[in-house]
Amino acid sequence: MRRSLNKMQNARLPMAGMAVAWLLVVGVVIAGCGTAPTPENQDEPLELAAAMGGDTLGYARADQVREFDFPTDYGAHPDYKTEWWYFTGNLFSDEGRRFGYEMVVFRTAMAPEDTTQTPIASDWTTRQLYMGHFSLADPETGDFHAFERFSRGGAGLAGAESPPFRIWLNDWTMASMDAFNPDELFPIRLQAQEDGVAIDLTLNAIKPIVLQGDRGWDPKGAGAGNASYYYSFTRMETTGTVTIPDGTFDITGQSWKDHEWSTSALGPDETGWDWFALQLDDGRDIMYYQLRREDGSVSPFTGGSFIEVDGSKRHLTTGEVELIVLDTWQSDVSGAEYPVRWELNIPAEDLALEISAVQPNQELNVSVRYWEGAVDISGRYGDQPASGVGYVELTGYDTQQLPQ
Amino acid sequence: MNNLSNSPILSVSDLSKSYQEGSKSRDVLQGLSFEINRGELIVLLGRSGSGKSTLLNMISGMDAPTSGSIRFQNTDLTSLTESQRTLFRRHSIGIIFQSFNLIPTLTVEENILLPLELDGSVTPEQRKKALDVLDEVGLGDRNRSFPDLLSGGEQQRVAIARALAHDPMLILADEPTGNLDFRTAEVVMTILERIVHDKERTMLIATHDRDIIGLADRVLELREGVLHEIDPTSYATHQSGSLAG
Amino acid sequence: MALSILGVAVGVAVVVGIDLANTSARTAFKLSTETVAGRATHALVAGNGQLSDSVFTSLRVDVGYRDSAPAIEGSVRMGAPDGQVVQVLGIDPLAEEPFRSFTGGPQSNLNLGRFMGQVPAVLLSEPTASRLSLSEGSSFSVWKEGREVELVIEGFLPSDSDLDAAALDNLLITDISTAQALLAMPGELTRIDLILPDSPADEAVIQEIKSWLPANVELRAAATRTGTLDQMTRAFSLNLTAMSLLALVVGMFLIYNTMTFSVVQRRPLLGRLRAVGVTRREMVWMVLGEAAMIGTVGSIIGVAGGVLLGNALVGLVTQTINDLYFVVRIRELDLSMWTLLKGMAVGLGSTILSALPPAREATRTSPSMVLKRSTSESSTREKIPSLLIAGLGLLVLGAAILWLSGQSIAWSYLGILAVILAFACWTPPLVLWGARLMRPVLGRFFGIIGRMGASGIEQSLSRSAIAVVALTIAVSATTGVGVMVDSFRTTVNTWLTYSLEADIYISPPGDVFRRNDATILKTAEESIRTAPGVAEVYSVRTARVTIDGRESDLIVTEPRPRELEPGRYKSRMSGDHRSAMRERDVVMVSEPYAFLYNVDVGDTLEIVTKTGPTPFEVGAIYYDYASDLGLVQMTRSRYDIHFDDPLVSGLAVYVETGLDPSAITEDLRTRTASIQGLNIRSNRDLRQASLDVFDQTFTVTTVLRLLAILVAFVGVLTALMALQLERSRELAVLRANGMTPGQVGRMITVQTSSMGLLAGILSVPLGLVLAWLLIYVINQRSFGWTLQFQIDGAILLQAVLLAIVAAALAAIYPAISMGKTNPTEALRTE
Repeated sequence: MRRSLNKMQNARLPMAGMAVAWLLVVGVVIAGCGTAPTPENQDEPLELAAAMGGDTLGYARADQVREFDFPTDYGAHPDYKTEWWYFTGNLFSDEGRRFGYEMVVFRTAMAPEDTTQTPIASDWTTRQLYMGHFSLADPETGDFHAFERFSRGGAGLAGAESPPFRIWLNDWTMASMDAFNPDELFPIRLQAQEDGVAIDLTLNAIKPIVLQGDRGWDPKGAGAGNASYYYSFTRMETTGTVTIPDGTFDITGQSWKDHEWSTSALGPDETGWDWFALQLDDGRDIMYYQLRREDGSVSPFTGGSFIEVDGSKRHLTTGEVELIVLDTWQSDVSGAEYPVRWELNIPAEDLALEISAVQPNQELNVSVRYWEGAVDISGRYGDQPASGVGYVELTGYDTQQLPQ
Repeated sequence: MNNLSNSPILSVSDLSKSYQEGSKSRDVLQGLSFEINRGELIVLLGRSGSGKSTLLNMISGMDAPTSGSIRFQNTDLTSLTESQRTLFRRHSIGIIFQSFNLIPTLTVEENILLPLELDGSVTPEQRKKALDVLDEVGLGDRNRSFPDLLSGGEQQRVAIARALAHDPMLILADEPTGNLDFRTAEVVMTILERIVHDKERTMLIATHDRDIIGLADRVLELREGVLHEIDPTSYATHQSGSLAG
Repeated sequence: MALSILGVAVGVAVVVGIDLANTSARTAFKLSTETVAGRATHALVAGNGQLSDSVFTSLRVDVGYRDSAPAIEGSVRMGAPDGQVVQVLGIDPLAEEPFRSFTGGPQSNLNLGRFMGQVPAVLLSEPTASRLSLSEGSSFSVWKEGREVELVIEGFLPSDSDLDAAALDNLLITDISTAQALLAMPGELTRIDLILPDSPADEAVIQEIKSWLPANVELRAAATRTGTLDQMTRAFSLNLTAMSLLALVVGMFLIYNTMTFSVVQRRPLLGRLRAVGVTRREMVWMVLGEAAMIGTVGSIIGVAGGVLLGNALVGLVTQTINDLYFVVRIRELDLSMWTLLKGMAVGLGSTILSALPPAREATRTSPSMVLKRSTSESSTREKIPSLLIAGLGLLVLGAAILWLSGQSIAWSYLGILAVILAFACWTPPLVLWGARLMRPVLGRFFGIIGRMGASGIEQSLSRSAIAVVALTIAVSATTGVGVMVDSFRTTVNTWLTYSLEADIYISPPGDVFRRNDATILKTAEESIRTAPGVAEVYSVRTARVTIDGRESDLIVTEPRPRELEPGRYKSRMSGDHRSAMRERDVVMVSEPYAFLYNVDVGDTLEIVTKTGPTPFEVGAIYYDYASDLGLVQMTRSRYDIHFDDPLVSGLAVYVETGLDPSAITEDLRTRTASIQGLNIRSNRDLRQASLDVFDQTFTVTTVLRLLAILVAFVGVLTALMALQLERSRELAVLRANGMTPGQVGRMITVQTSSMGLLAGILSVPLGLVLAWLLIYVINQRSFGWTLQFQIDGAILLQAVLLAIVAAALAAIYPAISMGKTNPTEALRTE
C-alpha cells in the first residue's frame, strides 16, 4: 500500500466530491497529513461517509480477490480512481558514491465514466490526471533533489500501457526494453530528468512477482471495497547512470517496484502511515506498513509481507511487528518532525533490525510534502548479523501544510 | 430769412432723460420743451456733457426719452418701435456728424444715396436730386471718389450732402466743424447757412462753437439739463465779421 | 477670446480624440495579445497555418521541454449567428502555471475532470458573465461559422489575478479539447507558447528546439505578435492621424486669426504702451503670454473634449478594424497620459506658433501709427505680391517634398501640407479679386447692401481672408477626401462587377468581413454541390500562412473555365500564367501585396507548406481591392499538393442556364439550414454587402471631414465677431443713416455667404489637387492601389454649398448681434 496519491484521495472527502487536481493534492493535507483530527472532522462523520459514497460512485472497486491478467495488468486500470507505479532503490557507483532514488507515476481518474454525457471529441479529452515524483538522495553532499510534474492522460502527453509496458509523463518514462517480446516486462528502463538531475536505469527482476495481501487483494480499511489490488517486484538488479549537477555516475544497485490500484482505501480516521521496503543482504525482503490513527494508535489494517529468497511470501499481521522510533529530524522547510531511525522487531521471526536514514533530509517538498528516503539496515536475524538497504515512506507528519 | 412757418415741424414737450448709474439715477435732461418751425436754423449750445448729444439722439430716434414727447408734425416718435424710428429717421432726418462718418467702402455718390438705397431702389429723379445736392456743396465732380481720397472739409461736405439727399424734414448736425481747421470750418458753415436759408430746410446744429450763433435764427442753450432760449443778438458782439454776409 | 479658446479646443479635441481612439484600439489588441500570451517569451507557430497538436506532444515527450503550453485562439459569437464576438482561448490547465493564471492557483475549485473534455466547459470573468446574465453552472449557446454550440460555465476566472480586468472581458477560457471541437480545429493548435531562457548558457536549449522543429513550424518571439497590429493597421492609423492633424491646421488659422485680432484691436493701447516706453521684447512676451494662456485653457478644454470625442470615435475605429483586419474589442477608452500630454503640447505649441506673427506685428506698432485705422488693412493689401510669391515657393517646396519623399507617407503628408499652405497664401489675393468681381453682381441683387457686403470682405481683408482660408482648407479637404472615396468606390464597384461573375456566393459567417477564413462543413458543401439547378461550383479557401516570413492571407481558388479579362492583371508572365498556376508552383499576388513587399512577376515567394518553406514563382499581379494587406492566390490543385487542408471558406455557384438564381438561393438556404448557418447571397447582394462595408470603412473619414468643417465654422464665426468689434462705428453710422437691424443682418449675411462662396469656389481646385494627391500619392504609398480618378460634379457642388451654408450659419449670431448696434455710437467722438 502506499502513498501520496492515496492521501490525495482521502483529501477529497471533505470537498464533497470535487475532482480537483492539484487542489486535491494540497487538500489532502487537511484530512491526512496535517492533521490531527480536528473537532470539526469528528462532527462530520455522516457527511464524510456521504462524500465518500459520492466520490467513489461510478468507479470500479477493489472489493474482492481477482485473477490478475499479465501483461495487461502491468498497465493502467482507468476505471479505478487511483493507481500508481512506484520504483525506489539504492544505487552505488564504482567510485564509492551512493544514491537513493524514487520515481513514481500516479494516475487519478478525475471523474467516473458518465454514460449520459458524450465527451468532447478530441484527443485531448480525458478523465485521467497523471502526477509524477522523482527524487534523488545524495548522502555524500546531503543534497536531496525532488521534482513533481502533472499532465493530462490525453494527447499522448502521459499514459500507462501494457503490453508493451510503457508508462510516461512527458519525457519521464518507465518502459519495457524488450522490443522483440512485447509481453515481457523486463528489462525495464527508467528515465527521468529535470534541472540537471537525471536517472537512466535498467532494471531486471531477480525475484519473482509478489502478490501482496490476499492474492493481491489488500484491504486497507473497514468496509467493502476499502482495499487495493497490489503487487510488487521486491528486488530488481539495477544498472545505469545517475546524473547530478556534479557529473554523471555509472551505478549498480537494487530496486523495488510497487504497482497498486484502488478506488478507496484508507478509513476516514487514518492520518498517515510509515511504510518500509527492506531488502536484506541475505536475499530476504520485508514490506511493512503501519497506519497511524487520529488517536495515535495503530490501525488494525496495518500489515506487511515477509518474502523469502525464493519469492515465497508470509503475510505479516497487525501486532506482529514492533516499531520503535529512536531518533527524529525536523525539516527546515516544513517544520515537520520525521522519525529517521527505528528499531523494527518481528519477534516471531526472531528478527531485530535497526533502520536509519542514509541522510535525514529526504523530504519531498511537493504539492503534498512527505518523506521518502533510502535507509541502511543493521541488526540480527536469529543469531546471525543482518544488514541491508531499503526505502521508507512517511506521510502525515507535515502539520504546517494545512489549508487556510 | 423766413422763420415764420404756420406750424412747428417738431414739438418737444417736457422731455426728460435719466441714466441709471449703479443705484443712482442721473438726470441728463429735465423737462425740456421747445418747438422747431420749418426753415429755421437753430443752434443748440452747451458745454461737453451738457446733454446736447443725448437730445440729438432722442430727436433722431436713436434713443428713447425717459418721459415726455417728441412729435414731428403727425408723428409721435416716442410711440414708435426701434425699427419704425429707424425708418422715420431714414426718411425724415439727415444727420451730419462731427467726424464725418462716411462709409469708406462706398463712393461719394453711394454715400449720398445711402439712405435712399437703404429704402430700396433709387429713382432717376432721386439720383439727380442727390447729385444736385452734391453740386450744392461744391463737389459735383467728385461723385466717383472714395472718401479716403477727400480732405476733411470735403468729407464733411459729402456728409452734408448725404444728410440732404433724401430731402429730410429736419437736419441734425453735431459739432459739424469740430474736426475741421478754422478756414475749412468757415467754408462748411457757409454751406450750412446757405442750404438752410436758400432751400427752406430746417436744421438743428449742436455746437459749443459760439461763432456759429451768428447764423442762427434761434439759439437754445443746455445748462445742466435745462434748456434756455437765448437772444442771438446778445452774442452779436462775438460774431465774426466775415460771417455777416 | 472665448472664440480663440474654442478654436484651440476644437483643434486639440479632434487630434486627441483620434489619437485616443487609435491608441485604445492598439492597447486593447496589445492587452488581449498579452493576456493570451501570458509570460511566454516565444511561440511556435505553423507557417502553413496548421499546427498539429502532435508537435506539442513531441516537444513534451521527446524533447522534454516543459516550459511550454499549447494554445488555441479563436472567436465565437454569443447567442446568435451575428451576436457579439467573444474571444476563445483554449489551454491545457496542467501546462498553464508558468504562463498564465486563468485556472487559478492551488486554491482553484476547477473541476479538471469536467473541464478536460467531459463537458464543453468554459471559464469567464464574473463581470462578463453578469453582463451576459449568465451564472455559474448555466449553459449558453455560441455560434461559430454558422454552427450552434452549447457551452457550460464551469467557473469564473480569478478576479484577484494579476490580469487586467479589461483583458478578461469577453474572453472564454476552455480546455484544448473543447477549443478544438468548438473552433473546428481537430488535432490542431494555434500556437505553442514557450518560455525560453535568455542566458547564453541556455542557447543550447534553443538550438535543440530549433533543430527539432518540424519544417512547417517556426519559432517566433512573443513580442512580434503585438507588432502585427501596427503592421496591419499602419496605413489606416496614419491616415486617421493625418486627418486629425488637418483639423489642427485649420484650427491654427483660427488661432492666428484671433491672436492677430487681439493685437489689432488693441493697437491704440499697444501704441500708447510703446509711447510710454514698453520695449518691443516686452510686448512680444505680453502677446505670447496671452497666447500661452489661451493655448493652455483651450488645450485643457480640448483634451476634455477629445476624451468625449474619442469615446464616440472609438466605436467607429473598432468597427473598421473589425471589418478589415481582426476582431478586437475595446471595452473602454484608454486614457493614455502620453496622448493627453501630447494634446496639450500640440494645442499650446500651435497656439504660440500661430501667435508669433501677430506678436511681431505688435512690436511694429509705432506710436505715430496709432490713429491710422486702415494701416493694417492697407498693409495686408501691400503684402499681396509677397503672398503670391510665398505661395509659389510653398508650392514648389511641396512638389519637391512629394517628389523626393519616396514611399514615406509622413513626408507625403508634409508635402501636401505645403501645397495646402501655398493655397492659403494665394487665398487673400484671390479673395480680394473675388470680392471686387462680386461687388457689382451683389449690388445688382442686393443693392447697396450687396455692394457693402462685398466691399466689407475687401475692407477687412486680413480678417476675412483668414476665415476664407480656414473654410477653404476644411472644405477642400472634404472635397479631396470625397473625390478620393468616390473614385475608390467607383473603382471597387467596377472591380466587384467583373470579379463577382457567379450567380450565388456562399460563405460561413466570419468575424472579419474582408478576411474570412471560416470554413464550410463538408456535409454542407456536399449538399450544395449536389443541389438541383446548380451547374458549377467553385471553391475558395482563405488561409493564414507564412509567406516570405510574414503571416499573409493565401487565397486558394479553383480555376474557372471562363477566361479572365486581361484588364484584371497589372502585369503577367509571358505565356499562360493560369495554366502555369495549375501545373507548376506558380502563384499570383494582389497589387497591394506586390507594392507592400516589392514583389514583381518572376520573383519567388517562399510559402511555408506542410513540408516547410517551398518556393513559388509569381506569375501575375492582379488588381484587388479586398485587402489592403495584400493577397497571394494559389490554385486549389497546387494547394492540395502542398497543404493538408480539404476545407473551403467559400463557394461560388453558377446556376443552370434559364433558372432563377433567387429561387436556387432559397433552395440552398433550406437545404443547408439544418447543417450550418451559411451566408448564401446573390451576386447583387454580395456586391451590396461589400460596398456597405466599404462605406462603413469611411465613416470615420466622414466624421473627421465634418469636424474640419466645424473648426472652419468656428473660424468664420471668429472672423465675424472680430469684424463686429472693428466695424462697430461704421455700423452705428449706417444705423444712424437709417439702416434697420434687419438690413444690417442681411448685409452681414451677404458678406459672409460671399466669403463662403469664395471659399467654396477656391476649395474646388484645391480639393481636386488634394484628391489627386490622396489617390496618386497617399493611397499609392499606403496601399499601392490603382484607382480611377473620378470627379463627380455633385461632390464639387456639394462642397461649394457646404462652404456657403457653413458660412451663412456662422453669420447668424453675428448678424443678430450686429443688428443691435446702437446708432448713437456714431455720434460719439473718438
